[in-house]
Amino acid sequence: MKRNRFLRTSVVRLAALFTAAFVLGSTLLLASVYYSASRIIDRDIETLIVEEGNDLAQQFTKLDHEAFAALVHLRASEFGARGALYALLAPDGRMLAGNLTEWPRNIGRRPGWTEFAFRPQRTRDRDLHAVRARTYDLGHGFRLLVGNDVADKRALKSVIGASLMWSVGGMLLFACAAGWWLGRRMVNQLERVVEAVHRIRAGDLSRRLPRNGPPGEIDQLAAEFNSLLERIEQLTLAMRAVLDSTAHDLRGPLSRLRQMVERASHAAGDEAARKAALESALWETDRLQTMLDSLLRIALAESGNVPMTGVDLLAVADNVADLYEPLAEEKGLTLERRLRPAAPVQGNPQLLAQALANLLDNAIKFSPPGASVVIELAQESDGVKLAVIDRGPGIPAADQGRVLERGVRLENAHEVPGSGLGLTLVAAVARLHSASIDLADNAPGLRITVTFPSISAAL
Amino acid sequence: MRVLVVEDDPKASDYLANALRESGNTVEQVADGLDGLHLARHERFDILIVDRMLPRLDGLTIIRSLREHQVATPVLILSALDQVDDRVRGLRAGGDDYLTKPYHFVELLARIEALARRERAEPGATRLVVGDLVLDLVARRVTRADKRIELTAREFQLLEFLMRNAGQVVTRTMILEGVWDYHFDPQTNVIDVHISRLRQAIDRGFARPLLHTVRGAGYVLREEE
Repeated sequence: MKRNRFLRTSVVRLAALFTAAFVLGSTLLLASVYYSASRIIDRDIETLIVEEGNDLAQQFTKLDHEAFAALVHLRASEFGARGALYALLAPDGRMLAGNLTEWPRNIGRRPGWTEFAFRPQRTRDRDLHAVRARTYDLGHGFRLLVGNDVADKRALKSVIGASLMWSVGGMLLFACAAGWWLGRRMVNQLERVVEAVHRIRAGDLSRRLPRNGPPGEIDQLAAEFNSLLERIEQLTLAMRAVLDSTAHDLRGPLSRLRQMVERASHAAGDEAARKAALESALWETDRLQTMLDSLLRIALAESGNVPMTGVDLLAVADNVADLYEPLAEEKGLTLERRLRPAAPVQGNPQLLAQALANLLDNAIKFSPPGASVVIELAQESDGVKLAVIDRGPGIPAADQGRVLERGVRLENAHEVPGSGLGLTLVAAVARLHSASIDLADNAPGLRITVTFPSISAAL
Repeated sequence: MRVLVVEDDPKASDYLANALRESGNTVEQVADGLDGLHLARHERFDILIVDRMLPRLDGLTIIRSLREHQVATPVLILSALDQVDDRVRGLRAGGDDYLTKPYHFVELLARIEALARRERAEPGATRLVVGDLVLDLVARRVTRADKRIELTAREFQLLEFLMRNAGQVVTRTMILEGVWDYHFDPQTNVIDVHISRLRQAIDRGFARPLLHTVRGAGYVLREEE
């Protein structure tokens, strides 16, 4: 089963394809080497035979039969030791000269190239030797055979051939082994990835892909995948936290809502009490809805799935200040605008306005009467700084990190209405805009500065 | 008003239709997009209330198709999606207003009444008049009983918005959208403070107030008999 799956993987198919191509290519190469080598070996002998044969055929026309037979005999005794073979056949079938005991059988009457086997007499080995030979019709019924023992050459050729065959076999084995090994290695690496992905899909989001393979594309893929998982895990944890805190936040208002509706349904006779209970219920419902809206906005800002454009923060700040100025004045506060032109930032005007509104809302809520709330905008070297400064109770240094978290309300904030989500939204919007938030003591009061990267710096 | 409600959730649809009927409207209900488009094209309505997610044909497609067929009936889009660009997409498709679920019925009622009225209002007016209150859009001047009233730029905008919707209830959310173009609810009811300032400016010293608070809903600018 497992083996089958391995064989069916695309990696193995690829490895097999390459192995086959490699083996085929090298076989062709070696075959051509063998062909060329044997051509060279054969041609040597044949040239020799043709030269000798032609020379003798010419001598036959010049000499009488007796002298020619003597010449053939001479040649035979001279070159016989080197494997040369001669035979001169008389018209009556007698062997006139040569070092062959008899005219080889099985060769046709037609002159030309032929091959036969013969057993050399003087050597000790009794094996048949192959002979390459050419026969000539000399005329008047005389026939001449000139040949050469090619046993050595054949042996050489077969040695070359065999070694080439061995090479092909070796290469085949090597290629298969290498292909198998490479494929196996890649498949193993990929299988580990697949297995890890399976586990992750099953819900183990803390798991990561193995990075112990050799560096390369798969390893790079694993690295990319791991950073993706990192992000997913963060988002999932954030979502779980949202869900937990949302459930927690909603439980209170919901149970109050239930009590109020119950009270209203029991106060059948008392119309005034009934009305009061229903109105409280309505108020509680509104609060719930506002809270849910805030949570959705935070989720939206955190999702990053928000259209962004170039935003002039001066206009945003001016508009939000316009919105809050009467409220501040009603509380006996002065809303002071220290707004200087700044480079546009890449952002979402609605979310930016809402975040700034939340900051101003908080500042106004927590300021003592007669104080001033300052909204400040300035272009600085490290970006565009938008600050809201109040003279309220401020936030103790120990709590400064905590207030940006979801649903955190400080002890002294209980008499002031609010969901505890205002600063969470500010933090989410800041993150969405790659902006940093800095909380500082204004002695007394709080100074919240949001620093946006200028568009040129962000790009 | 004759209202068409295109909404696939039967509970939500019935609740909305009953509330609309109680407020004196005639209501037709359909539960899927194709029927909605068909009815909206072939019968006359004063207003269409269209849910975004519908079986067979989604809300935005209905609106686009209606506009292509020169049906100009005002459309209020209802949506459970609160995405910043969702509203923009809805309005770009030809919707006239947009409301996120869950909504307050008074909010919806105020909006559809404003929409239906907008159809009849003349857009090119240079002077808006409610009783003895006159707002001159060209001179950017406000007078009441021929007495000049000084307003800040924002107060002027707010008054203009109220006067364009004179006689209609406008909710706080509508004011935030109409005057500030803000599509979120500030934590504090800042609008109330703006209204009370405007009320100081236009109603103080006059026997009959023009700017009234409608409990549980919003505000209305009108001359009361």
